[in-house]
Amino acid sequence: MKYKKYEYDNYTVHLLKTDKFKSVFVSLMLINDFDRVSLTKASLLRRLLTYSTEKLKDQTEVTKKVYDLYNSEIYVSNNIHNNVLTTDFSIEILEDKYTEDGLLKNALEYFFDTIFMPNIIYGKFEEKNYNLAVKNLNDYYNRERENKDTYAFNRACELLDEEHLRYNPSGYKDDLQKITNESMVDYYNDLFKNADSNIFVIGSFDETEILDIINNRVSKKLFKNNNNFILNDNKKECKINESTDVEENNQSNLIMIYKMYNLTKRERNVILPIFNRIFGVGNNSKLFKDIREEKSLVYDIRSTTARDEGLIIVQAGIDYKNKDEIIKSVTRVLDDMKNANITQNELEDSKKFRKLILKQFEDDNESILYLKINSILFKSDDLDKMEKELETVKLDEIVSLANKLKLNVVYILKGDKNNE
Amino acid sequence: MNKIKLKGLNETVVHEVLDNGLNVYVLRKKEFNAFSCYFITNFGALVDKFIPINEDEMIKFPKGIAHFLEHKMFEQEKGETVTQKFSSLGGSCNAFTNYDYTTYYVTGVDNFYENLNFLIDYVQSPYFTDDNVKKEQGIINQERLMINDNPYRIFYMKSLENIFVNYGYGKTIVGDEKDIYSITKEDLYRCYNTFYNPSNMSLLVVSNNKEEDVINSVKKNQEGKKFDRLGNIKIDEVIEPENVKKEYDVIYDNVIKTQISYAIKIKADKFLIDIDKALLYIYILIKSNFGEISKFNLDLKQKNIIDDNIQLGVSMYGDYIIINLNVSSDNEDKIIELFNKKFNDLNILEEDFNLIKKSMISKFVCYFMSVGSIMDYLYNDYFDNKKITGDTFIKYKELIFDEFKMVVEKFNINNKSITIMKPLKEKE
Repeated sequence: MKYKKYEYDNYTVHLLKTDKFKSVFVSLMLINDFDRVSLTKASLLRRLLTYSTEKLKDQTEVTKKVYDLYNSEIYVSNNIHNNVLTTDFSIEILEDKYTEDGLLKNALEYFFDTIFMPNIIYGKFEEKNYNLAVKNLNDYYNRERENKDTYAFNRACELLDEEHLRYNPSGYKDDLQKITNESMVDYYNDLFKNADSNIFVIGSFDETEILDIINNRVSKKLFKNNNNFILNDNKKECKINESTDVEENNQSNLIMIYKMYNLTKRERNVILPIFNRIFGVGNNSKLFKDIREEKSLVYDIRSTTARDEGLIIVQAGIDYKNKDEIIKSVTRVLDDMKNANITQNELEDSKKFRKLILKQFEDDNESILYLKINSILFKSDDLDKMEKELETVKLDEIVSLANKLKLNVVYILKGDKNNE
Repeated sequence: MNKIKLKGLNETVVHEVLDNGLNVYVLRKKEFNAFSCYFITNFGALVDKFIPINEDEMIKFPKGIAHFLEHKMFEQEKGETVTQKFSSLGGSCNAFTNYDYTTYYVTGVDNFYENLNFLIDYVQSPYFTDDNVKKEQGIINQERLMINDNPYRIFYMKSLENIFVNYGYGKTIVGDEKDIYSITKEDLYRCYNTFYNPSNMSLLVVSNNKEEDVINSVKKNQEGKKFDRLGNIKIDEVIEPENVKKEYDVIYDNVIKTQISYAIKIKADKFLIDIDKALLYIYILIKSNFGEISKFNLDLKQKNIIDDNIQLGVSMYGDYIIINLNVSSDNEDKIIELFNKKFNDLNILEEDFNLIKKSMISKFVCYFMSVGSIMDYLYNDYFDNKKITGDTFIKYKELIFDEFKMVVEKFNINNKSITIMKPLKEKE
C-alpha cells in the first residue's frame, strides 16, 4: 500500500492506494475543542446535514440519490478523544468498474454537497427538516434509558474524577431545548473555521483526478488550525466513587472504571491491548474464566480500554445479590496480575490474538484508514509498528501496567425485578 | 468434488459430500490473510420433539435444548479448554443458535489447518456430566434474564408468536427458567447423537488455501472417526395454517413510547413464481411504499405521527412470507388506519423499482470485500436453502418490472397481526 501526504495551506490530504478492495473510502476529519453544549449541537448537526441539502430538499430525495449512487451513503460521526471532539464525514463508493462510469465523481459531488451546501435559507436551516432533526434527537434522548448498557456506562463516567471530561458524547436533552436554529448555523460555520482538517482516501483511484475533485471543493471552505489534542496522564490521585441507581429490570449492570497512571507511550500503544486481552477480552480472559466459567456468576463479563483517557472499564450483567462476590473477584483477578500471576502461555496467546486482530485490520479498508488516522492525529502507532512491537512484549511489562491501575468508579444499575 | 458457481459474481465454491455424509463447501480468496470456518448442524430451537437415533418413540425435550447443547459443546474431558486451545492456535471461536441451526465457528490468520481440525474435533467430542450441566444452568439463566431485559427483543418475539398458530417462531431460543433447570446430560446426549451426525451437518470454509487441500484435510480428519448411520431424522411435523394466531395483542414493557408491529402473513407459493424472487419483489414493494424512499414515510414523520422511519422486515418463515412494519408512535389507531389505507393504494413506480434494485445489487459487491462478509453471504445462502446454491445474486439481477407487477396483483393483507407494546406506566 502506498501512502502519500499532500499538505495545503489550510488542510492536509492523505492518500492510501491499494487494489485490494472494490471501493474508495473517503473521510473528512475535523478536530475541534469542545464544551458540553457543543456535543448536543454536533449530534443535531449530523442530522441536519444528512436529512437534506441545498439540492436535495428532503429525506426522500436524499434516499433516492443514495440508491442511484449504488448505496454511497454518507455517515457523520462524532467522537471524543480526551480533550477534543472529532467530526468525521465519510463515504464508501464502489469502484466504477463494478458499477458505472463516473460513479466516483458523482458520489464525491454528493459528499461535498452534503458537507458544504446545507439546506440553509435566509440564515436558518430549512424549517421542516430542522424540526424533524430536533424531534429525532429529542426522541433519542428520551429513549437513552432503554439501553441499559449505554445508560449505565454514561452514568458511571459521570462519577469519574474531574480531570476527565465526563460528558455523554451524544449530548443532553436540556441543552437541546436551549439551542436555536440560528445558533446551529453559527455552530456549522464555526465548526469549519476552527477545525484542524484532514482528508483521507483509501482505495484504487487516479491520484490527479481525486486531488482535483477534493481541492476544487474544499480549498475555500477549510481553514488553517492546529488541534489541541493531548493524552490524559491521570495526574490526580483517585478515591473510589460508588453509586447505585434502580431500574425495572431483571439483571443489574455493574461498571468498574480503573484509571491508569503515568503510562509511557509504549504502555499505551503496545502493552495495553495485550494486558487487556489477558484481563477481560473474550472467552479466554481471566475475568471470563474466573467469574463465568469457574463461579457461574455471570453470562458475560468484559473489559474495554479508553486509550486516550487512560482508562479501563469492566462491564458485566449480574444478579444483584452476587454483586459483592463479583466485585471482590474482579479485584482479586487484577491483584493476581499485579502479583505477576500470569503465565507465559497467557502472554503468548494474547499476542497471537492481537496479531489476529491486526492482520484482520489489513483485510478491511475502513480499519486501515482509521488506524492511519489514529497514528497521524492521535499519537498511536501505525499498523507496521504495532505488528513489529508486538513480539517484544514481556511479562514484567504486563505486571508493571497492572500495577498502574487504580479503581476510581463502581457503579451499579440495580434491576429490581429479580432481587427482592 | 463439484463446483458451484456464484452466478454473476465470478466466484466459485467447491463442494464435496464425504463418505460419512458431511457436506464441505470451500471458497478460496487468495488476497486475504484471514480465514473463517463455520461448522453447522441442522438443529435449532424449533426442534424439541423427535425420535432420537436408535429409538422408536417420539420424545418431547425441554425448550432451549439446542441452545443448551451449544453451550456444553465447549466442555472438554481433559486438557485445555476449547477456548484455551483455540487461543494457543491464534484462532477466535464462538457459536450461536437460531431457530433452524446451531453454528460453531473459528476465525483467524495463522495455523489454518490446526484451527479447522480442532473445530471439527471438539464439536465431535461431546463431554457432558451432571456437574458440568448443573454449572451451565446458572450461566444460561443469566443469559435468559439479559434477553428478557431487552424490551425490543421481547416485542419482536411476541409479534412473531402472534403470527404463527403452530410454528415455534417467536418462542424462546434459550428456554424458560423451568426448561433450563430441567435439562439433563442424558437429554443432551440423545440430541447430540441424533443431530450432530456428520450427515446432518455442513462445513463452510473461506480461506486463502487451495480448495482441494482443505477438503482432503477434512476427509483425513473424518476417516478415523466412526458414526452411526443416520436415516432421515423423524421430527414432529408441524403444519401451519394460513390464518394468524392473534390479530391484535397489547403487551407492556419497559419502553418510553408505544411500539406498533403491523405484520402480514402470506403463503409463499401463491405467487406462482420462484419463492425467493417473490420474496424480493415483495421487499421492493414494501420498501418503495413504506421505506425512506417513500413520501408516505416522510409525511408521517413530518406530521409527528411516527417518531422515526418505519422499520421494514420481509422474511421467509417455513412456507410463509412475513412482512413486518414497526413504528414508534403515540397514536396506534391512526397508524393502523393509515397502513390499512396505504396497503389498498400501493404505488408501483418503475423508477423506484429500479433504484431499489440498484441499491440491493450494490450490496453484493460489498460482500466480497472481506472474509467475514463473504462468510455472511455463504451462510445466508445456506440458511435459506440448507445448502449453497450460488443463485442468490443472480436472482436479484434477474428481477423485472413486469413480473413485479404480477406479484403485486396477487398481494393481499387478509392475514394480519397487530402487536402493540406500551410503556409499563400505562398499565398502572
